[in-house]
Parts: sequence; C-alpha cells; structure tokens
Amino acid sequence: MAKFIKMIVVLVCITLASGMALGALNYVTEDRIIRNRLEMTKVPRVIDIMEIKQGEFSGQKRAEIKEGLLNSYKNIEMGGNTYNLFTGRDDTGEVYMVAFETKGEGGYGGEVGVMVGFNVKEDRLEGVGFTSHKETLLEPTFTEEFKKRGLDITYKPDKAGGDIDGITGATMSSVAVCNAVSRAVSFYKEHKEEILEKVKQ
Amino acid sequence: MSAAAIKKEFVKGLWTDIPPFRFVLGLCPTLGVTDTMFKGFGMGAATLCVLVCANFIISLLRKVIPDEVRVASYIVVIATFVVCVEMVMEAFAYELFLSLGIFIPLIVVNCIILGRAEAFAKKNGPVLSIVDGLGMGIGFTLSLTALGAIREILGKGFIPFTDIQVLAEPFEFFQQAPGAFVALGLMLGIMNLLGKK
Amino acid sequence: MEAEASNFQHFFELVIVAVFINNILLHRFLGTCPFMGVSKKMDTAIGMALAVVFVLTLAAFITYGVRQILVETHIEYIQTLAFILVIASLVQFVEMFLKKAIPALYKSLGIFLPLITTNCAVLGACIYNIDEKLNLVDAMVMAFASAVGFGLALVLFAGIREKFETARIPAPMQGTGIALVTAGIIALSFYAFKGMI
Repeated sequence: MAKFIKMIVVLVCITLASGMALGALNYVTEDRIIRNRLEMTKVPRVIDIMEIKQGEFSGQKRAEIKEGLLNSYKNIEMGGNTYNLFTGRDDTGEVYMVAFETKGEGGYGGEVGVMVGFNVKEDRLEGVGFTSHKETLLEPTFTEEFKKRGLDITYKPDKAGGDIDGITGATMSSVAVCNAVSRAVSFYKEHKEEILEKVKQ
Repeated sequence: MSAAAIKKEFVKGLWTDIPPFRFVLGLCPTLGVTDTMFKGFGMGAATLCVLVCANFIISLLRKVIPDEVRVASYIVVIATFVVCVEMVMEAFAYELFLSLGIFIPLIVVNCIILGRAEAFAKKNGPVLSIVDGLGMGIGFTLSLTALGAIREILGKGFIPFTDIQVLAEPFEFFQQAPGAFVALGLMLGIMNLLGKK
Repeated sequence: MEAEASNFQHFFELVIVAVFINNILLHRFLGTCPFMGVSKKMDTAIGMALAVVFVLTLAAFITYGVRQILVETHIEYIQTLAFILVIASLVQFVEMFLKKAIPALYKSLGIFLPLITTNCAVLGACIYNIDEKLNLVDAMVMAFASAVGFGLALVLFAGIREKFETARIPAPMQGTGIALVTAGIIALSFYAFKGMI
C-alpha cells in the first residue's frame, strides 16, 4: 500500500512541477509568440497585396508599412471567430484596402491559410497571399488568379465549374485556396458595413 | 569522479557511440529536417538542450522515482523540456520554429533521449549525466549538421550561407524524401567503413 | 444520392493521400526506428503493423477529445505533453489486454509493443490531425489510413529484407545502411502515385 501511495505521490509531484514550470514559461513567452505569428506570416502577405496597387516597396518603406500595420490592426469577432483586420493605406494616406486571413480546407496537407485583401474604394478583391500551408504543389504564381477580381464571380477551380484557372495536377490545393477565398468574399459582402465602421475607429 | 571519467563519458558520444550512426536511434528527425544544414543544426541543438536537461533531472530524481512508474515519470520530464523548447523557439527563433515544424514536438519520442535516461541517467550521478547528454547531444548535432550540409550541397548546388555554386546541375533528389533515405544510408555505410579502420 | 457519392469520394481521396501520396513513413519520415527494427521478419512486421493500426486509430480519437479540452481551458501549449501521456497509457492498456487475450501475439511482438509509444508515427499522426484541423471522423480515417500506409511500407520492406539474407552486400552497408537505401528506392516508387489525384 505504501508503495502504491509513493508511486502516486511521485507522479503527481512531477506533473505539478512540470505544470507550474510550463505555465510560468507560457506567461513569459505568450506575447512574443502572438507578435511573431502576426509579424512573420500575416503582415508580410498584407504588404505583398498592397504592392499590387503601389508597386514594389523599398526595404525602408516596407519596414515603415510593417510597423504601421502592426500598430493599427483591429480585431473583429464574427461567428465565433476572431479576425485580425488590417488596413492598407495608399500614398495619400487614405484607407483603400482591408485584409484578413481565412482558412480553406481540402488540401493535400489539410488546411490552407490565405490572406485576402479587398479594395474598398473599387469594391473588389484586390489580391491574396498564402499565410500557411503544407502543399508541395502550391505555386506562388497561383495568386495571380486572384488579382483585381470582381466579387461576384464563382471562386472555384475551372474543373469544378468555377471561374478560377486551377493549378494543373494540384486540384486539391486549388480547391483549398478557392475555399478560403470564397469564404473571405462571402464574409466581406455580408459584413462590409461593420468592417468599414471598425476601420474608422 | 575524476576528470578522466568525465572525459570518457563525453567523448564517446562524439565518435564511438555517435547517434544516429553508431547508436542507430533518432532516425526520424535525421531524415526529416536535414534538407538544409541550418535546419539540421537547429534540430540538433534543440535535441541537445532537451537531452542535457532531461538527463540532469532524471539523474537527480533517480533514487526517488519508484521503478514501476519510471517510464511514465521520464516521459513527463522529457515532455516538459520539449514543451519548454517549443515555446522558447516560437518566441525567439520563429523562422527556425516554422521550418522544423512537427519535428520539434517529436523530440519527445526521440529514442536517444529515453534511451539515455534508461541506460545512463538512471544509474549515474547528475554531473556525469549532464556530460553524457552533452556528448551524445553534440555528436547528434554534428551528425545532423553534416548530413544537412551534404544534402544541401548536393541538392541545391550551393554551399550553405554563401553564393558559391558548386554544382551546375544539383541533384534535387537529395532534397526530397527518397534522397534523404539514400543519403543517410550511404553516410552510415561510410561511417562504418571509417570506423573499421 | 449526390451527397453520398461525394462523401465516398472525399474519404477515398483522404485514404489515397494518407496511404500512398503522403505515406507517413516514406514521405513524412515518421516511424523509421521501428521500421528498421521490426522489418526483418514478415510475421513480426505484420503483427507490428496491426498493433500500430489499432493504437493509432484509438489514439486519434482520444487526442481529438483531449485537444478540445485543452482549447477550452486555454492551455494548448501543453499539447505535446498531454498527447504523449495519452499514447503511453493507451499502449500500456493494449499491452495488458493482449497479454490476457492474445498471448501469442503479445509474445511475438515482445519489446516492440511498448516501443509503439516512441513510434514517431503515432504521435506525429495525432499532431497532424490537429494541425490540419480535421474533424473527428476525418481525423480517425486519416489516422487509420496513415497506419495502414505505415504497415504497407513495413510489410513491403520485410519481404525485400528477407531476400537480403542471401544477397552479397558490402560489409559497411550491411544492416541499416542497405535498408535505408532500399527504403529510399521504395519511396521513389511511391512517387508514381502523385499523379493520381
């Protein structure tokens, strides 16, 4: 009996010590981790989309815009999810673009993360960037299919009857990206008012 | 515990018992993250940290942990350090964290760590256990870095971190899955050949 | 009727991808240590394959639930620790069950049964399920198919390895060296499946 108790006590103590150590470390690193995720994966894609209208940025301009985006993004809660909403300004300083990330399921490696940018002045899709995926066949040039497209086209690969030229031999990847984009488009159309309100705050 | 004993435990991990070539353990990360030299090095370093810390704690606790729950206890200790490494990497080395991906949490099932806990830390004092961990860990890091360098040079044609092009037509084969297996197998053969001399 | 047809297609694709295209061993590199150790004889290979299928499918189910709990309590970072504990306990139970119910299998698997705990493929597949945000059914199908892929590679390999006994292989390459190179060639042959979907 004593042996059994000793076993339990030792295991519990080790687990408690472990839990406390990890909790403490989490407290220390949490903020940096959140910032890393934003800074390294999301923000660069927003800047890529901004380059569609404004042309390639110099290193310094890119850093400035990056700081701006990191300091000005808003969070909106819709349908149980939190979206980081980024606003893009043109060279006059006016807001012309909003961007947020959505996910699309169905790729070879599961989910694909896509940053989708909307031109609020011309009410259209401005462009997309890939934030996360494990697709080996997803070419960066696929983003061309989504540059300056209208909101009412069918966001599906042509093989599935849609208006997007899918990647040959990578049907599942194309489908996953289209899922993400069409999700973003529906979201934008449905919540445009609230998004613009949030941006003005 | 003499300087000679310390030296002996340290050196064995660097050649005679070097993982993964002599101690054929920890093959999964060896195959999975050696497509570039930097990734190989990063993985080795992360494993080294966990190995040393786990060996140390397990050695400290070796007389306290009852035999029946020792594997469970070792797993908790090792997993704790793996999660620590995960968090620290995600906070301070984000790009490396992303490129190593799933192999970071998989350090917890790296046979080297559990193997050393069972074979060494369980029976030896904390100082020697740290030394054992250091030797094995550094040996592992050297192996992964070397394999990573070879696969990167053969597969991309450039010397890592430079613009020096060595191969005009690199063998992309070595950057992919089958190439990893073949490269490791051949390197194992070479190591065996060198060892026999 | 239409919904049923596309459901079947969805699962069919999932299985083909998990078994052939993203084969957990030959493409994702997970499960290499037991792969080298168990594939020497056909019967142990088959036994191990079946055991892994069973453990992995169950583990996928349980870890899915555990993940939900971790998310609700905002301690997702503990995932690695929680998952490995689940797997270790599961293997323990399977051991006890087999010892009583199918003692012959228990005996033939020997030390390889507890080694399923450190099989990167088991923990790896559970983590992939979470990373790829699969729902419960997809996760279990994926886990099952991944384990089948592992078993397939294992059995294919055991068949080839039995032939090695009578082949003339240079000394440094014997054992793990030639095994790895062969695995690489099998991995290469699986590339043929990529064009299927």
